[in-house]
Amino acid sequence: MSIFSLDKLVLSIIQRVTHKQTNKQMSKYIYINGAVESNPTNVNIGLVPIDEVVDFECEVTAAPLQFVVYLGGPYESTTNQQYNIQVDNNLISDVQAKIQFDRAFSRAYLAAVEGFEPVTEFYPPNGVTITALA
Amino acid sequence: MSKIGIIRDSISVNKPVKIEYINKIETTVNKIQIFYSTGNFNNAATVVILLVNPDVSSYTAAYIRERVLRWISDGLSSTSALVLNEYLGKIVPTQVGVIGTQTTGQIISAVDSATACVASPNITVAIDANNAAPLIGTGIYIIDGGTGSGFPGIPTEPVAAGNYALLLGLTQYFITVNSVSNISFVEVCPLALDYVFNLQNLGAGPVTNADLDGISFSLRSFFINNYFGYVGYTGNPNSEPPEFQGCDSAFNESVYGSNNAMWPIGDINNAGKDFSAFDVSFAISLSDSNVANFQDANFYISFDLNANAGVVADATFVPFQIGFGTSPIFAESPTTGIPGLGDGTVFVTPTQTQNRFRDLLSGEVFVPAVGQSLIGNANFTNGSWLNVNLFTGQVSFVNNTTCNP
Repeated sequence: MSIFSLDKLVLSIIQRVTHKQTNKQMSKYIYINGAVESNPTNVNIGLVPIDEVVDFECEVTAAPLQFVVYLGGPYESTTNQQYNIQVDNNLISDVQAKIQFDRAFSRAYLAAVEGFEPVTEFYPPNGVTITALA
Repeated sequence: MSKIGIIRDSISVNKPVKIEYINKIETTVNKIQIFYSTGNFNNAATVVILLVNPDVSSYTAAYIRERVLRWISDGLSSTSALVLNEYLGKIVPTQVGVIGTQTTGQIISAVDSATACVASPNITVAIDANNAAPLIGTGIYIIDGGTGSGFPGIPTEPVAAGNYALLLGLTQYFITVNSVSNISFVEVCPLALDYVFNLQNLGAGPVTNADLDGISFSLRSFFINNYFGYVGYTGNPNSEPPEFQGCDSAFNESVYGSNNAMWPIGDINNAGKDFSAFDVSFAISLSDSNVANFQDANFYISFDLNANAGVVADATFVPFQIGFGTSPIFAESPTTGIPGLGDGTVFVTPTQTQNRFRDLLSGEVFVPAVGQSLIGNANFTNGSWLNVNLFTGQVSFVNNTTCNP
Protein backbone atom coordinates (compact mmCIF):
# COMPACT_ATOMS: atom_id res chain seq x y z
CA MET A 1 0.00 0.00 0.00
CA SER A 2 1.44 3.35 -0.94
CA ILE A 3 1.71 6.26 1.47
CA PHE A 4 -0.91 8.07 -0.59
CA SER A 5 -3.33 5.17 -0.20
CA LEU A 6 -2.64 4.98 3.52
CA ASP A 7 -3.40 8.66 3.86
CA LYS A 8 -6.71 8.16 2.12
CA LEU A 9 -7.55 5.21 4.34
CA VAL A 10 -6.82 7.19 7.53
CA LEU A 11 -8.83 10.11 6.22
CA SER A 12 -11.70 7.80 5.39
CA ILE A 13 -11.67 6.31 8.92
CA ILE A 14 -11.61 9.77 10.47
CA GLN A 15 -14.53 10.83 8.27
CA ARG A 16 -16.53 7.76 9.26
CA VAL A 17 -15.87 8.35 12.95
CA THR A 18 -16.79 11.99 12.56
CA HIS A 19 -19.98 11.08 10.75
CA LYS A 20 -20.83 8.56 13.44
CA GLN A 21 -20.33 11.08 16.19
CA THR A 22 -22.40 13.74 14.46
CA ASN A 23 -24.98 11.43 12.93
CA LYS A 24 -27.85 12.80 15.00
CA GLN A 25 -27.36 16.36 13.84
CA MET A 26 -26.27 15.82 10.26
CA SER A 27 -28.63 16.53 7.38
CA LYS A 28 -28.87 13.75 4.85
CA TYR A 29 -30.12 13.77 1.32
CA ILE A 30 -31.08 11.43 -1.46
CA TYR A 31 -29.90 12.44 -4.90
CA ILE A 32 -32.56 11.58 -7.45
CA ASN A 33 -30.90 10.39 -10.64
CA GLY A 34 -32.81 10.43 -13.90
CA ALA A 35 -31.94 6.98 -15.19
CA VAL A 36 -30.61 3.60 -14.20
CA GLU A 37 -27.16 3.54 -12.62
CA SER A 38 -25.48 2.18 -15.73
CA ASN A 39 -26.62 5.08 -17.89
CA PRO A 40 -23.51 7.13 -18.82
CA THR A 41 -25.49 10.33 -19.32
CA ASN A 42 -27.23 10.23 -15.96
CA VAL A 43 -28.17 13.56 -14.42
CA ASN A 44 -29.35 14.58 -10.97
CA ILE A 45 -32.98 15.60 -11.13
CA GLY A 46 -33.59 16.50 -7.50
CA LEU A 47 -32.51 16.37 -3.90
CA VAL A 48 -34.68 14.85 -1.17
CA PRO A 49 -34.02 15.88 2.45
CA ILE A 50 -34.66 12.54 4.11
CA ASP A 51 -35.37 14.00 7.53
CA GLU A 52 -38.51 15.54 6.08
CA VAL A 53 -39.88 12.53 4.18
CA VAL A 54 -43.34 11.58 5.42
CA ASP A 55 -44.41 9.38 2.53
CA PHE A 56 -43.61 8.55 -1.09
CA GLU A 57 -45.51 6.90 -3.88
CA CYS A 58 -45.55 6.40 -7.63
CA GLU A 59 -48.78 7.60 -9.23
CA VAL A 60 -48.73 5.61 -12.44
CA THR A 61 -52.30 5.87 -13.65
CA ALA A 62 -52.52 9.56 -14.48
CA ALA A 63 -50.63 11.53 -17.10
CA PRO A 64 -47.95 12.60 -16.58
CA LEU A 65 -46.91 9.64 -14.49
CA GLN A 66 -45.42 10.92 -11.27
CA PHE A 67 -43.38 9.90 -8.28
CA VAL A 68 -44.41 12.02 -5.32
CA VAL A 69 -42.34 12.53 -2.19
CA TYR A 70 -44.48 13.94 0.58
CA LEU A 71 -42.40 16.17 2.81
CA GLY A 72 -43.33 17.39 6.25
CA GLY A 73 -40.33 19.25 7.50
CA PRO A 74 -40.15 21.98 10.09
CA TYR A 75 -39.66 24.71 7.53
CA GLU A 76 -42.42 26.93 6.24
CA SER A 77 -41.15 26.50 2.71
CA THR A 78 -41.51 22.73 2.73
CA THR A 79 -43.46 21.47 -0.27
CA ASN A 80 -43.96 18.04 -1.72
CA GLN A 81 -41.71 16.98 -4.58
CA GLN A 82 -43.32 15.63 -7.74
CA TYR A 83 -41.12 13.93 -10.29
CA ASN A 84 -42.43 13.24 -13.78
CA ILE A 85 -41.51 9.73 -14.87
CA GLN A 86 -41.63 7.77 -18.11
CA VAL A 87 -42.19 4.05 -18.26
CA ASP A 88 -40.95 1.99 -21.19
CA ASN A 89 -43.75 -0.54 -21.47
CA ASN A 90 -41.57 -2.68 -23.71
CA LEU A 91 -39.51 -3.38 -20.62
CA ILE A 92 -41.92 -3.08 -17.73
CA SER A 93 -45.64 -2.58 -17.11
CA ASP A 94 -46.92 0.51 -15.33
CA VAL A 95 -47.93 -1.47 -12.26
CA GLN A 96 -44.60 -3.28 -12.05
CA ALA A 97 -42.84 0.04 -12.55
CA LYS A 98 -44.72 1.46 -9.58
CA ILE A 99 -43.86 -1.49 -7.37
CA GLN A 100 -40.20 -1.61 -8.39
CA PHE A 101 -39.82 2.16 -8.12
CA ASP A 102 -41.42 2.35 -4.67
CA ARG A 103 -39.32 -0.55 -3.41
CA ALA A 104 -36.13 0.94 -4.83
CA PHE A 105 -36.79 4.29 -3.21
CA SER A 106 -37.62 2.57 0.07
CA ARG A 107 -34.26 0.79 -0.06
CA ALA A 108 -32.45 4.03 -0.81
CA TYR A 109 -34.28 5.78 2.00
CA LEU A 110 -33.49 3.12 4.56
CA ALA A 111 -29.87 3.01 3.43
CA ALA A 112 -29.69 6.75 3.87
CA VAL A 113 -31.26 6.63 7.32
CA GLU A 114 -29.04 3.85 8.59
CA GLY A 115 -25.85 4.82 6.75
CA PHE A 116 -23.25 7.44 7.49
CA GLU A 117 -22.98 9.15 4.13
CA PRO A 118 -24.55 12.59 3.82
CA VAL A 119 -25.76 11.78 0.32
CA THR A 120 -27.31 8.56 -0.94
CA GLU A 121 -27.77 8.07 -4.65
CA PHE A 122 -31.12 6.86 -5.95
CA TYR A 123 -31.52 5.36 -9.39
CA PRO A 124 -34.89 4.40 -10.91
CA PRO A 125 -35.42 0.76 -11.86
CA ASN A 126 -34.74 -0.49 -15.36
CA GLY A 127 -37.42 0.71 -17.77
CA VAL A 128 -38.22 3.89 -15.84
CA THR A 129 -36.70 7.32 -16.36
CA ILE A 130 -37.30 10.48 -14.37
CA THR A 131 -37.72 13.39 -16.75
CA ALA A 132 -38.22 16.38 -14.49
CA LEU A 133 -39.02 17.72 -11.08
CA ALA A 134 -42.47 19.14 -11.74
CA MET B 1 -31.81 11.98 12.42
CA SER B 2 -35.35 11.47 13.51
CA LYS B 3 -36.46 7.99 14.46
CA ILE B 4 -38.46 5.94 12.02
CA GLY B 5 -40.34 2.67 11.95
CA ILE B 6 -41.24 0.52 8.99
CA ILE B 7 -44.65 -0.59 7.77
CA ARG B 8 -44.78 -3.08 4.90
CA ASP B 9 -47.76 -2.38 2.65
CA SER B 10 -49.77 -4.71 0.43
CA ILE B 11 -47.28 -4.55 -2.45
CA SER B 12 -44.35 -5.25 -0.10
CA VAL B 13 -42.99 -1.74 -0.08
CA ASN B 14 -41.33 -0.89 3.24
CA LYS B 15 -42.83 2.48 4.04
CA PRO B 16 -40.92 4.54 6.60
CA VAL B 17 -43.05 6.18 9.27
CA LYS B 18 -41.69 8.70 11.73
CA ILE B 19 -42.12 7.65 15.36
CA GLU B 20 -41.14 10.99 16.85
CA TYR B 21 -43.14 14.21 17.13
CA ILE B 22 -46.38 12.24 17.33
CA ASN B 23 -49.23 14.30 18.66
CA LYS B 24 -52.05 11.76 18.66
CA ILE B 25 -52.78 8.19 17.59
CA GLU B 26 -56.26 6.98 16.70
CA THR B 27 -57.11 3.38 16.03
CA THR B 28 -60.14 1.48 14.82
CA VAL B 29 -60.36 -2.19 13.97
CA ASN B 30 -59.46 -1.27 10.35
CA LYS B 31 -57.29 1.81 10.65
CA ILE B 32 -54.40 3.47 12.43
CA GLN B 33 -54.09 7.20 12.09
CA ILE B 34 -50.97 9.00 13.33
CA PHE B 35 -51.13 12.75 13.77
CA TYR B 36 -47.92 14.68 14.10
CA SER B 37 -47.27 17.80 16.06
CA THR B 38 -47.83 20.70 13.69
CA GLY B 39 -44.98 22.53 15.38
CA ASN B 40 -42.62 20.01 13.83
CA PHE B 41 -44.50 19.09 10.66
CA ASN B 42 -46.21 21.87 8.82
CA ASN B 43 -47.16 19.80 5.84
CA ALA B 44 -48.84 16.42 5.34
CA ALA B 45 -48.97 15.87 9.06
CA THR B 46 -51.19 12.78 9.18
CA VAL B 47 -50.30 9.23 8.20
CA VAL B 48 -53.04 6.67 7.68
CA ILE B 49 -52.52 2.92 7.82
CA LEU B 50 -55.42 0.76 6.63
CA LEU B 51 -55.70 -2.76 7.97
CA VAL B 52 -57.27 -6.03 6.96
CA ASN B 53 -58.43 -7.41 10.28
CA PRO B 54 -59.29 -11.14 10.24
CA ASP B 55 -61.07 -11.08 13.61
CA VAL B 56 -62.38 -7.75 14.81
CA SER B 57 -63.70 -9.22 18.07
CA SER B 58 -60.25 -10.40 19.06
CA TYR B 59 -58.16 -7.68 17.48
CA THR B 60 -59.99 -4.66 18.83
CA ALA B 61 -59.10 -1.02 18.36
CA ALA B 62 -57.65 -0.99 21.87
CA TYR B 63 -55.51 -4.04 21.09
CA ILE B 64 -54.21 -2.44 17.90
CA ARG B 65 -53.45 0.77 19.77
CA GLU B 66 -51.46 -1.15 22.37
CA ARG B 67 -49.47 -2.85 19.61
CA VAL B 68 -48.72 0.43 17.89
CA LEU B 69 -47.58 2.04 21.14
CA ARG B 70 -45.33 -0.93 21.82
CA TRP B 71 -43.85 -0.67 18.33
CA ILE B 72 -43.15 3.03 18.86
CA SER B 73 -41.72 2.49 22.33
CA ASP B 74 -39.40 -0.26 21.17
CA GLY B 75 -38.46 1.71 18.08
CA LEU B 76 -37.44 4.78 20.03
CA SER B 77 -34.93 2.76 22.02
CA SER B 78 -33.77 0.60 19.12
CA THR B 79 -30.78 1.33 16.93
CA SER B 80 -32.59 -0.01 13.87
CA ALA B 81 -35.99 0.65 12.33
CA LEU B 82 -38.58 -1.86 13.59
CA VAL B 83 -41.35 -3.26 11.41
CA LEU B 84 -44.93 -2.71 12.60
CA ASN B 85 -46.19 -5.79 10.74
CA GLU B 86 -44.28 -7.96 13.19
CA TYR B 87 -46.23 -6.39 16.05
CA LEU B 88 -49.63 -6.86 14.42
CA GLY B 89 -49.67 -10.62 13.97
CA LYS B 90 -52.46 -11.64 11.60
CA ILE B 91 -53.57 -8.07 10.99
CA VAL B 92 -52.32 -6.98 7.55
CA PRO B 93 -51.53 -3.36 6.65
CA THR B 94 -52.73 -2.60 3.13
CA GLN B 95 -52.31 1.09 2.33
CA VAL B 96 -49.81 3.25 4.20
CA GLY B 97 -49.14 6.95 3.85
CA VAL B 98 -50.45 10.47 3.81
CA ILE B 99 -53.71 11.34 2.11
CA GLY B 100 -52.50 12.65 -1.21
CA THR B 101 -54.20 13.05 -4.55
CA GLN B 102 -57.33 10.99 -4.67
CA THR B 103 -59.78 9.85 -7.29
CA THR B 104 -63.14 8.99 -5.90
CA GLY B 105 -65.66 6.53 -7.25
CA GLN B 106 -68.46 4.34 -6.01
CA ILE B 107 -68.68 0.60 -5.58
CA ILE B 108 -71.34 -1.94 -4.80
CA SER B 109 -71.03 -5.67 -4.41
CA ALA B 110 -71.89 -7.63 -7.58
CA VAL B 111 -71.76 -11.34 -8.19
CA ASP B 112 -70.70 -11.14 -11.82
CA SER B 113 -70.04 -8.85 -14.76
CA ALA B 114 -73.63 -8.80 -15.99
CA THR B 115 -74.90 -7.77 -12.58
CA ALA B 116 -72.15 -5.24 -12.06
CA CYS B 117 -72.76 -3.45 -15.34
CA VAL B 118 -76.40 -2.63 -14.49
CA ALA B 119 -75.81 -1.95 -10.79
CA SER B 120 -75.94 1.46 -9.13
CA PRO B 121 -72.80 1.76 -6.98
CA ASN B 122 -73.26 3.89 -3.86
CA ILE B 123 -70.33 3.26 -1.51
CA THR B 124 -67.69 5.95 -1.88
CA VAL B 125 -64.15 4.76 -2.39
CA ALA B 126 -60.80 6.28 -3.29
CA ILE B 127 -58.70 4.63 -5.90
CA ASP B 128 -55.14 4.99 -7.10
CA ALA B 129 -56.22 6.14 -10.52
CA ASN B 130 -57.17 9.38 -12.18
CA ASN B 131 -60.45 8.66 -13.93
CA ALA B 132 -58.55 6.41 -16.29
CA ALA B 133 -59.28 2.71 -16.16
CA PRO B 134 -57.86 1.36 -12.90
CA LEU B 135 -54.84 -0.84 -13.31
CA ILE B 136 -54.61 -4.31 -11.91
CA GLY B 137 -52.61 -4.12 -8.71
CA THR B 138 -53.69 -0.63 -7.71
CA GLY B 139 -55.17 0.05 -4.33
CA ILE B 140 -58.77 0.85 -3.46
CA TYR B 141 -60.18 1.86 -0.10
CA ILE B 142 -63.35 3.17 1.45
CA ILE B 143 -63.44 6.83 2.39
CA ASP B 144 -65.66 9.05 4.43
CA GLY B 145 -66.71 12.10 2.41
CA GLY B 146 -64.34 14.08 0.21
CA THR B 147 -64.88 15.57 -3.22
CA GLY B 148 -61.65 14.87 -5.01
CA SER B 149 -58.09 16.09 -4.72
CA GLY B 150 -59.07 19.50 -3.38
CA PHE B 151 -61.02 18.04 -0.50
CA PRO B 152 -59.85 14.47 -0.08
CA GLY B 153 -61.95 12.04 1.89
CA ILE B 154 -60.62 10.32 4.98
CA PRO B 155 -59.80 6.64 4.40
CA THR B 156 -61.81 4.50 6.79
CA GLU B 157 -61.02 0.92 5.87
CA PRO B 158 -59.84 -1.38 3.09
CA VAL B 159 -62.33 -2.83 0.64
CA ALA B 160 -63.19 -6.41 1.56
CA ALA B 161 -62.13 -9.07 -0.91
CA GLY B 162 -64.80 -9.82 -3.51
CA ASN B 163 -66.43 -8.73 -6.77
CA TYR B 164 -67.81 -5.23 -7.24
CA ALA B 165 -69.30 -2.79 -9.68
CA LEU B 166 -67.10 0.31 -9.75
CA LEU B 167 -68.30 3.62 -11.16
CA LEU B 168 -65.41 5.92 -11.98
CA GLY B 169 -66.32 9.12 -13.75
CA LEU B 170 -68.86 8.13 -16.36
CA THR B 171 -67.50 4.64 -16.84
CA GLN B 172 -68.62 1.56 -14.97
CA TYR B 173 -66.37 -1.43 -14.34
CA PHE B 174 -66.64 -4.92 -13.00
CA ILE B 175 -63.72 -5.41 -10.63
CA THR B 176 -62.35 -7.98 -8.26
CA VAL B 177 -60.61 -6.85 -5.09
CA ASN B 178 -58.10 -9.21 -3.51
CA SER B 179 -57.47 -9.92 0.16
CA VAL B 180 -55.21 -6.90 0.61
CA SER B 181 -57.53 -4.34 -0.97
CA ASN B 182 -55.85 -4.21 -4.36
CA ILE B 183 -57.72 -4.53 -7.65
CA SER B 184 -56.92 -7.90 -9.16
CA PHE B 185 -59.34 -7.92 -12.12
CA VAL B 186 -60.90 -5.18 -14.26
CA GLU B 187 -63.52 -5.37 -16.99
CA VAL B 188 -65.00 -2.28 -18.61
CA CYS B 189 -68.78 -2.34 -18.86
CA PRO B 190 -70.27 -1.42 -22.23
CA LEU B 191 -72.02 1.94 -22.29
CA ALA B 192 -75.68 1.63 -21.39
CA LEU B 193 -77.21 3.98 -23.95
CA ASP B 194 -80.94 4.54 -23.63
CA TYR B 195 -81.42 6.83 -26.62
CA VAL B 196 -79.38 7.45 -29.77
CA PHE B 197 -79.85 10.42 -32.11
CA ASN B 198 -78.30 9.88 -35.54
CA LEU B 199 -78.22 13.29 -37.21
CA GLN B 200 -77.61 11.71 -40.61
CA ASN B 201 -81.17 10.42 -40.47
CA LEU B 202 -82.42 14.00 -40.47
CA GLY B 203 -81.08 14.44 -44.00
CA ALA B 204 -82.28 17.60 -45.69
CA GLY B 205 -85.47 17.72 -43.65
CA PRO B 206 -87.82 19.22 -43.02
CA VAL B 207 -87.49 18.01 -39.45
CA THR B 208 -90.75 17.60 -37.55
CA ASN B 209 -91.82 16.16 -34.26
CA ALA B 210 -92.01 12.79 -35.98
CA ASP B 211 -88.22 12.73 -36.28
CA LEU B 212 -87.00 11.01 -33.14
CA ASP B 213 -83.39 11.74 -34.16
CA GLY B 214 -84.22 15.42 -33.94
CA ILE B 215 -82.29 16.57 -30.90
CA SER B 216 -81.42 20.27 -31.05
CA PHE B 217 -78.95 22.50 -29.21
CA SER B 218 -79.33 26.14 -28.28
CA LEU B 219 -76.42 28.32 -29.48
CA ARG B 220 -74.99 31.64 -28.42
CA SER B 221 -74.20 32.46 -32.00
CA PHE B 222 -73.08 36.01 -31.23
CA PHE B 223 -69.75 34.59 -30.04
CA ILE B 224 -68.94 33.48 -33.58
CA ASN B 225 -68.09 35.91 -36.34
CA ASN B 226 -70.66 35.82 -39.17
CA TYR B 227 -72.29 32.65 -37.84
CA PHE B 228 -75.72 33.17 -39.40
CA GLY B 229 -74.31 34.45 -42.68
CA TYR B 230 -71.92 31.51 -42.99
CA VAL B 231 -74.57 28.90 -42.24
CA GLY B 232 -76.99 30.51 -44.70
CA TYR B 233 -79.65 32.15 -42.57
CA THR B 234 -81.43 35.28 -43.67
CA GLY B 235 -83.39 37.73 -41.59
CA ASN B 236 -82.95 37.75 -37.82
CA PRO B 237 -83.17 34.14 -36.60
CA ASN B 238 -83.02 33.14 -32.95
CA SER B 239 -80.49 30.44 -32.02
CA GLU B 240 -81.08 30.76 -28.28
CA PRO B 241 -84.80 30.99 -27.71
CA PRO B 242 -85.93 30.77 -24.08
CA GLU B 243 -87.56 27.49 -23.14
CA PHE B 244 -91.08 28.93 -23.14
CA GLN B 245 -90.65 29.97 -26.77
CA GLY B 246 -88.69 26.92 -27.89
CA CYS B 247 -91.39 24.59 -26.58
CA ASP B 248 -94.42 26.49 -27.88
CA SER B 249 -95.34 26.20 -31.56
CA ALA B 250 -97.20 29.51 -31.30
CA PHE B 251 -93.80 31.20 -31.55
CA ASN B 252 -91.78 31.32 -34.76
CA GLU B 253 -88.72 30.81 -32.52
CA SER B 254 -89.98 27.39 -31.40
CA VAL B 255 -87.83 24.36 -32.24
CA TYR B 256 -89.63 23.63 -35.53
CA GLY B 257 -90.56 27.28 -36.16
CA SER B 258 -89.56 29.42 -39.13
CA ASN B 259 -87.30 31.74 -37.12
CA ASN B 260 -85.48 29.08 -35.09
CA ALA B 261 -81.71 28.72 -35.54
CA MET B 262 -80.92 26.03 -32.99
CA TRP B 263 -78.58 23.30 -34.18
CA PRO B 264 -79.15 21.16 -36.17
CA ILE B 265 -82.92 21.46 -36.65
CA GLY B 266 -82.88 25.19 -37.32
CA ASP B 267 -80.05 24.81 -39.82
CA ILE B 268 -81.97 22.13 -41.72
CA ASN B 269 -85.41 23.71 -41.64
CA ASN B 270 -84.42 27.34 -42.08
CA ALA B 271 -80.96 27.46 -43.67
CA GLY B 272 -81.14 24.61 -46.17
CA LYS B 273 -78.49 22.44 -44.54
CA ASP B 274 -78.37 18.75 -45.46
CA PHE B 275 -77.04 16.30 -42.87
CA SER B 276 -77.00 13.27 -45.17
CA ALA B 277 -73.22 13.29 -45.37
CA PHE B 278 -72.41 14.06 -41.74
CA ASP B 279 -71.54 11.23 -39.39
CA VAL B 280 -72.50 12.75 -36.06
CA SER B 281 -74.68 11.12 -33.43
CA PHE B 282 -75.62 11.85 -29.86
CA ALA B 283 -76.72 9.45 -27.15
CA ILE B 284 -78.25 9.72 -23.70
CA SER B 285 -77.68 7.35 -20.82
CA LEU B 286 -80.33 7.72 -18.12
CA SER B 287 -79.34 7.47 -14.49
CA ASP B 288 -81.95 4.70 -14.31
CA SER B 289 -83.06 3.09 -17.56
CA ASN B 290 -86.36 2.12 -15.99
CA VAL B 291 -87.35 5.60 -14.86
CA ALA B 292 -88.45 8.29 -17.35
CA ASN B 293 -86.39 11.11 -15.89
CA PHE B 294 -83.56 12.94 -17.65
CA GLN B 295 -82.17 14.37 -14.40
CA ASP B 296 -78.48 13.36 -14.07
CA ALA B 297 -78.58 11.59 -17.44
CA ASN B 298 -75.29 11.66 -19.36
CA PHE B 299 -74.82 12.88 -22.93
CA TYR B 300 -72.43 11.22 -25.37
CA ILE B 301 -71.30 11.98 -28.91
CA SER B 302 -70.08 9.70 -31.71
CA PHE B 303 -68.42 10.36 -35.04
CA ASP B 304 -68.52 6.84 -36.43
CA LEU B 305 -72.01 5.43 -35.95
CA ASN B 306 -72.76 5.51 -39.67
CA ALA B 307 -69.28 4.29 -40.54
CA ASN B 308 -70.26 1.28 -38.44
CA ALA B 309 -73.50 0.77 -40.38
CA GLY B 310 -75.57 2.31 -37.60
CA VAL B 311 -74.70 -0.46 -35.15
CA VAL B 312 -74.57 1.30 -31.78
CA ALA B 313 -72.50 -1.41 -30.13
CA ASP B 314 -69.79 -1.01 -32.78
CA ALA B 315 -69.63 2.78 -32.63
CA THR B 316 -67.48 4.84 -30.28
CA PHE B 317 -69.45 7.14 -28.05
CA VAL B 318 -67.49 9.52 -25.85
CA PRO B 319 -68.76 11.78 -23.07
CA PHE B 320 -70.12 15.08 -24.35
CA GLN B 321 -67.67 17.15 -22.35
CA ILE B 322 -66.36 20.44 -23.70
CA GLY B 323 -63.50 22.43 -22.23
CA PHE B 324 -62.62 26.06 -22.85
CA GLY B 325 -60.21 26.54 -25.74
CA THR B 326 -59.53 22.87 -26.35
CA SER B 327 -58.76 21.68 -29.85
CA PRO B 328 -59.89 19.28 -31.01
CA ILE B 329 -63.02 19.45 -28.93
CA PHE B 330 -63.16 15.68 -28.89
CA ALA B 331 -60.13 13.55 -29.66
CA GLU B 332 -62.30 11.46 -31.98
CA SER B 333 -63.56 14.42 -34.01
CA PRO B 334 -62.49 14.25 -37.67
CA THR B 335 -62.74 18.03 -38.13
CA THR B 336 -61.64 19.37 -34.67
CA GLY B 337 -65.17 20.66 -33.94
CA ILE B 338 -68.44 18.92 -34.71
CA PRO B 339 -69.13 18.09 -38.39
CA GLY B 340 -72.23 19.95 -39.50
CA LEU B 341 -71.92 22.68 -36.87
CA GLY B 342 -70.74 25.69 -38.86
CA ASP B 343 -67.68 24.61 -40.83
CA GLY B 344 -67.07 21.69 -38.46
CA THR B 345 -63.95 23.19 -36.90
CA VAL B 346 -63.41 24.56 -33.41
CA PHE B 347 -63.64 28.06 -34.95
CA VAL B 348 -67.08 27.26 -36.44
CA THR B 349 -66.72 29.80 -39.29
CA PRO B 350 -63.76 30.57 -41.57
CA THR B 351 -63.58 34.17 -40.38
CA GLN B 352 -63.63 33.39 -36.64
CA THR B 353 -60.06 33.65 -35.31
CA GLN B 354 -60.57 32.74 -31.65
CA ASN B 355 -61.67 29.35 -30.36
CA ARG B 356 -65.02 30.18 -28.71
CA PHE B 357 -66.55 26.73 -29.22
CA ARG B 358 -67.29 26.29 -25.52
CA ASP B 359 -69.04 29.65 -25.44
CA LEU B 360 -71.12 28.83 -28.50
CA LEU B 361 -73.09 26.05 -26.86
CA SER B 362 -75.40 27.34 -24.15
CA GLY B 363 -76.16 23.95 -22.61
CA GLU B 364 -79.91 24.18 -23.34
CA VAL B 365 -81.06 21.15 -25.31
CA PHE B 366 -84.35 20.04 -26.83
CA VAL B 367 -85.06 16.30 -26.83
CA PRO B 368 -88.07 15.00 -28.78
CA ALA B 369 -90.64 12.53 -27.44
CA VAL B 370 -88.27 9.60 -27.76
CA GLY B 371 -90.52 6.88 -26.39
CA GLN B 372 -89.17 3.79 -24.72
CA SER B 373 -85.54 3.31 -23.76
CA LEU B 374 -83.47 0.97 -25.92
CA ILE B 375 -82.50 -1.00 -22.83
CA GLY B 376 -85.06 -0.31 -20.12
CA ASN B 377 -88.69 0.52 -19.39
CA ALA B 378 -88.30 4.31 -19.27
CA ASN B 379 -90.78 5.89 -21.71
CA PHE B 380 -90.94 9.55 -22.72
CA THR B 381 -94.21 10.43 -24.43
CA ASN B 382 -93.44 14.15 -24.50
CA GLY B 383 -90.50 16.23 -25.60
CA SER B 384 -88.15 17.73 -23.00
CA TRP B 385 -86.09 20.85 -22.55
CA LEU B 386 -82.90 20.15 -20.62
CA ASN B 387 -79.94 21.99 -19.24
CA VAL B 388 -76.70 20.08 -19.72
CA ASN B 389 -73.48 20.79 -17.85
CA LEU B 390 -71.06 20.96 -20.77
CA PHE B 391 -68.03 20.26 -18.60
CA THR B 392 -69.41 16.96 -17.35
CA GLY B 393 -71.90 16.06 -20.07
CA GLN B 394 -74.54 15.49 -17.42
CA VAL B 395 -78.04 16.94 -17.26
CA SER B 396 -78.06 19.59 -14.53
CA PHE B 397 -81.78 20.11 -14.50
CA VAL B 398 -84.90 19.41 -16.51
CA ASN B 399 -86.66 22.63 -17.50
CA ASN B 400 -89.72 21.22 -19.20
CA THR B 401 -91.07 17.68 -19.41
CA THR B 402 -93.91 18.57 -21.79
CA CYS B 403 -91.95 20.44 -24.43
CA ASN B 404 -94.05 19.75 -27.54
CA PRO B 405 -93.38 22.52 -30.09
